[in-house]
Amino acid sequence: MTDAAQIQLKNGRLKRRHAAEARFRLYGRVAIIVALSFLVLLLGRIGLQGYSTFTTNTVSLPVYLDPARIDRADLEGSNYDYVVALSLLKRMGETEDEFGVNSGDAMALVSRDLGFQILDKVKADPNLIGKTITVTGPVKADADLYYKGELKRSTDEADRKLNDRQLDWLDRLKKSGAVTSGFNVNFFTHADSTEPEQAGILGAVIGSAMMLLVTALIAVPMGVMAAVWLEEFAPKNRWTDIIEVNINNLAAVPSIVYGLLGLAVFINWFGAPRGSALTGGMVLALMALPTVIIATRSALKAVPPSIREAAWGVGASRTQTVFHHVLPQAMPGVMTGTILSLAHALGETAPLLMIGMIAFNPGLPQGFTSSASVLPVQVFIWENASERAFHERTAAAIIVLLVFMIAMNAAAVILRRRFERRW
Amino acid sequence: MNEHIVRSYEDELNQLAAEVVRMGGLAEAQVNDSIQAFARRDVPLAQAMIGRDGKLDAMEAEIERAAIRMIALRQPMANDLRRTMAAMKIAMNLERCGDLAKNIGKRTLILAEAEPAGPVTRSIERMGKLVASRLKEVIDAYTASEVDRAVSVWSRDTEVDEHYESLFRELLTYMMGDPRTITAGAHLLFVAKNLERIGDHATNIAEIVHFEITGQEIVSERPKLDTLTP
Amino acid sequence: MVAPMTTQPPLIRTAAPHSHNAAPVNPPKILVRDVNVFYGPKQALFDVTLDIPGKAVTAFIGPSGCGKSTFLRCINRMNDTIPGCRVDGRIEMDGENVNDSHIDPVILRAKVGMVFQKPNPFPKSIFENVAYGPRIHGIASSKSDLEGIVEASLKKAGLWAEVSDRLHQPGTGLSGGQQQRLVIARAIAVSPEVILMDEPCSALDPIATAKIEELIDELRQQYCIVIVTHSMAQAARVSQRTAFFHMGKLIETGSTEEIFTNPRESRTQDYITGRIG
Repeated sequence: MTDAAQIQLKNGRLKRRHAAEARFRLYGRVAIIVALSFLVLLLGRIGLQGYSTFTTNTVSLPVYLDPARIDRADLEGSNYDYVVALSLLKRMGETEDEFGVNSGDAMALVSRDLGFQILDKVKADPNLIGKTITVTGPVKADADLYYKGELKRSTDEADRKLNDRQLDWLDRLKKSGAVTSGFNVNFFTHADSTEPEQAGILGAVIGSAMMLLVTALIAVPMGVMAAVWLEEFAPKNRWTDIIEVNINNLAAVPSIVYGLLGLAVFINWFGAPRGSALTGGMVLALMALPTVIIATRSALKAVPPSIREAAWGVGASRTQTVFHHVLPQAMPGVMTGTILSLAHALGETAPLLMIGMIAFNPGLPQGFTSSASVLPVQVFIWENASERAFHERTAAAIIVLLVFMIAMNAAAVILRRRFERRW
Repeated sequence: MNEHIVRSYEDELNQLAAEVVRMGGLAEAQVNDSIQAFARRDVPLAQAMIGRDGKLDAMEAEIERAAIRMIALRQPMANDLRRTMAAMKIAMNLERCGDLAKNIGKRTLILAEAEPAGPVTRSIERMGKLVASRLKEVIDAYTASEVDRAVSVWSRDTEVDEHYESLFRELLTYMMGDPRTITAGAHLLFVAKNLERIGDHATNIAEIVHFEITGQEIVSERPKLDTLTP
Repeated sequence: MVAPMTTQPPLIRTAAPHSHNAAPVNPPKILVRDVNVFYGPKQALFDVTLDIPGKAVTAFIGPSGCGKSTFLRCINRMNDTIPGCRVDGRIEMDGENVNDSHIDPVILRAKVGMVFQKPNPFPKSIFENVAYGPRIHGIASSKSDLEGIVEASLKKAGLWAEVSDRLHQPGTGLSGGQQQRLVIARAIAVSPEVILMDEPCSALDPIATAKIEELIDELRQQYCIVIVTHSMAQAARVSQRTAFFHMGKLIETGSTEEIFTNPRESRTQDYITGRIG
């Protein structure tokens, strides 16, 4: 082959190599863009759906506590919602009609929360009866939706929850300044409720926290100790190989199987309380255990053998070597693995459904053995609710859940960085 | 014996030894020439031999330099170290032999004018031949790395001494008998002494060869005729 | 004329070398008899027998894989930590066989300290590095006692002057040579009787190496030191006795001067002069 031809060939080959590299780079970029756009799509969708939850409309009404309707002797039994509705009617310049349609319409606009507030106030000071007090509380869910533009006048009246007159009243209330819009504190301070405007995630947040606590207390010590034993002390024979294979497999078992296990063993056999933070924690601990063991083993393996040799050389026993030197050195990895597996457990739904955490819990959990709800299950419950207002709350709950997970992951990264610097 | 893994090291060691062998050959030739020139009062031969002494000196300096270089750069151990030290020490001894041969040559020039060769000269020649053969033997022992040959040279140190002692007595007798022979006798005495010292150097070389090969110094006394103590 | 001398009765061989490095006739500190070491089915050491004198430096030399490090690790039973490793034979120290099952390796390793090839201080402060040993063995009776031990050990290791003002900084922040001296201080802190060194200078530059060698020279007046090295020059400089290993067998032992000027075995000579690998 002549020199010129050889050079031609070489150039040709070179061009093809460069072209292949450019193509590969392009594929990479395209893949990342596609992944990112899905992420943006998902987050955007959720964000758009849920952001409206964070604002809510509050109404401020002067309410005349009619002594005729409030029975001093039976404060609990009096119908405060009716009292509130009458005051609202008065405000609108209307009165009650004989069928109670007007008050019914009025009651549909204002949250029952106002009634409860009045009850509390009257209980505290019965002398308020006969006076007019101003009460502030959220508007009812449908009214809130109207203000947010979800419920439109353009829809046929028959298909709407609120009729035209109610919408007019709402407009007037807004115009007069009785209704203000502000940050939805209730969402963060209330537990679940049948009324969407009163529903909040605090119960679920506390439930999740309690459950995670149980999970952490069970899974972390057991997992770390098991990993330490397997890695540092156990003899390397067939049995330990089998254990290792099984642990790896357990990490891949579908989570609902753990739910079945929890149901069969914890609830039916041990008699653990159904749907409680304790049982949920135990089930999730089982799920998190293999991951913690694997992460800890990995971190222990990463500690260079020179540290162990140095410790043995000075006359440290195996135990002293592990606990004084190896484990502290492996801490960043252990913590990262632990926090990540707990973050993962935070978002588990299927096994918790199996152990009965789907119950409706109107209040905060009383203890570890009482029925509790957790964030992902709360999302599930609200998604299945019929009221339209729960839609936006579902998305808001998802946002809160995501924030938690990001916070836990960030904590893992920060902790790792802090401990890594020393080494 | 195995070769060095680093070839150049092996080559350098061999080259050093080869240099010493060459120097040995030259020293041998100088001694032979000096004896022959002395025996026949051959002035040109003596002069030529004297002229060549410078070469011997140069060779000794070169060998010393090479040995120092070897020690600094290669850090020889065990037998390599002994070989290097031996080369240096043998070169020193050979250079002295050359100087002694040159001295004999100078005295030959003086004797050639004054005294023709006589019976003493022939005795001295016989002694010289013995010394030369011992020197050759020991240099061959070094070249071939044969300990036994070196040891046999070492053990026969007395042969040369006996020659010298008898020559000493003979010359003294002559000089005491006829004072006119004192000058010549003195020179002849010196020639004999030089030859005896060449013999000693040969013995030195024998000891060095023994040490190089076995790693052990010869500690026992040289078999010497001790005529100084009564 | 003269009787032919074919045999050499007049030749007396030279015996003891007379240099400053001469090994004093020390009683042996460690007696090794017929030690065989197996890694699973593979035998790594064959019938090793030698005496190691106290208050002197003994060097183990030999090509890679000849078993010198393996043998070193037998002395403080570090081979116990390798699964499948079996050590037969007697290694006697102070009358007891360290290989016996009733000997606690933890206590043994306080008596026999070890310095490794790559300096491996604990990722803790300098003070903690040295204090760890005395602490776990309960040597110090009080905090000031412990501080005294740390200071003394660092001084003996020649490091005190350089680190006295930063004892609470991490040990890993020192240079390589300083780290190795820290490791030596750590070993000294538990008052050992023997110090084992496995190629302690191979990761250091020449100046740091020289400092460590000077330290070894001082330490040998108090401790029995065994050093494995693949630098023959270092073994020649630093030790009084040398043992040459080859393919798992102990080929020759002797005073360092003898080994390096006139070894008995041709294999030793070949290795020292660079004729075999």
